Amino acid sequence: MINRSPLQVTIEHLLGMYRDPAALQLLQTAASVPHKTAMQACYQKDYLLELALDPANPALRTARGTIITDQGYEFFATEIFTSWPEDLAGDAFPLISIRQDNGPGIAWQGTPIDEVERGMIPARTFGPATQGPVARGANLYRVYNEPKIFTWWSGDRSYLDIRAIAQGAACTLSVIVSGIQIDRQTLER
Amino acid sequence: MEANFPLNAQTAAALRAAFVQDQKFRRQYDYTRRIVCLAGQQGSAEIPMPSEGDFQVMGYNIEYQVQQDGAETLFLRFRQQDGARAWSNDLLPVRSIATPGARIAGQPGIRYGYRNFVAYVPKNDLLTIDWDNSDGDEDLELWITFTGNIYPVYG
Repeated sequence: MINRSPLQVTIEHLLGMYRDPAALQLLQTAASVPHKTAMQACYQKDYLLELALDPANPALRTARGTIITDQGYEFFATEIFTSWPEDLAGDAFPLISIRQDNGPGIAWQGTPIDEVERGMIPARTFGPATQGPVARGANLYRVYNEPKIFTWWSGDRSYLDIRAIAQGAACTLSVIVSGIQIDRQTLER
Repeated sequence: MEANFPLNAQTAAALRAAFVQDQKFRRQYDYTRRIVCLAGQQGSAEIPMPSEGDFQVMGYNIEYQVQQDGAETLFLRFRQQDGARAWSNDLLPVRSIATPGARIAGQPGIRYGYRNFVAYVPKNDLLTIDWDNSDGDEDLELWITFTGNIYPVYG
């Protein structure tokens, strides 16, 4: 037990948070194999989606994109973070929602953008500023680099539908979904 | 599991022995390399990874200094030689992974940041860092420190 890798410890921690039987079985396998195998089979992967937003441009007031996770690998999202490089004054942060188009078919949060803005989440939720002066209304370079822990089992080759609504100012919103990618073949070999 | 573990003289000795063994088995390790991303260009840098043993990356820190005003538009992607495993399919904006949080817009200064990231890197693997600074106005010198554990016995 002492020689468990940090990855196995992480997986075991996640075991207590996830309920899907198939995912649970795979995670239990990952937690019980020799830790070199676990290290080889379970590793982190980042997926990026960038959305251009401009409230003054009707074509860019809303934006939508899809992250497609790799085929042949189970993906277990563990964190989400967002950033936007341009100056956004005050509360001009975009709103986002993330849904999974396949698999369980349950939204991570929020509602489709078609249902107006109800249920959309402020993008800043997915990464609060970690340091530096953040003053309401100040013209700051708002970049958030503290990922929000968000666990979600999305399975093999999943489609993550990300939608955003501009608020107040034009920007390019970067959304990174990061998680553990599990190579089932290596794990069960 | 720990709560049910009977702690007595014998088990304490066993735990000590296991702890000593664990120190041989796994050692913490920092590994720093520097790359330069030229303004207006894109390219790749190949970095030989540790030869002491298999390296489990647990996170990395990126530091660089911006001399001029303006937005930063540098993008990075890490790829391992082993199995052509990429840490991301896309090049990621470095501002998302190496910033000190909110700051005054576009001003020069040091950018830095650490993020947790788990990756298994076999002994003597080659890490390729793809960079894209094609929209940048200045050369950026990046110091990248990978932190994690070395497993000498695997090597």
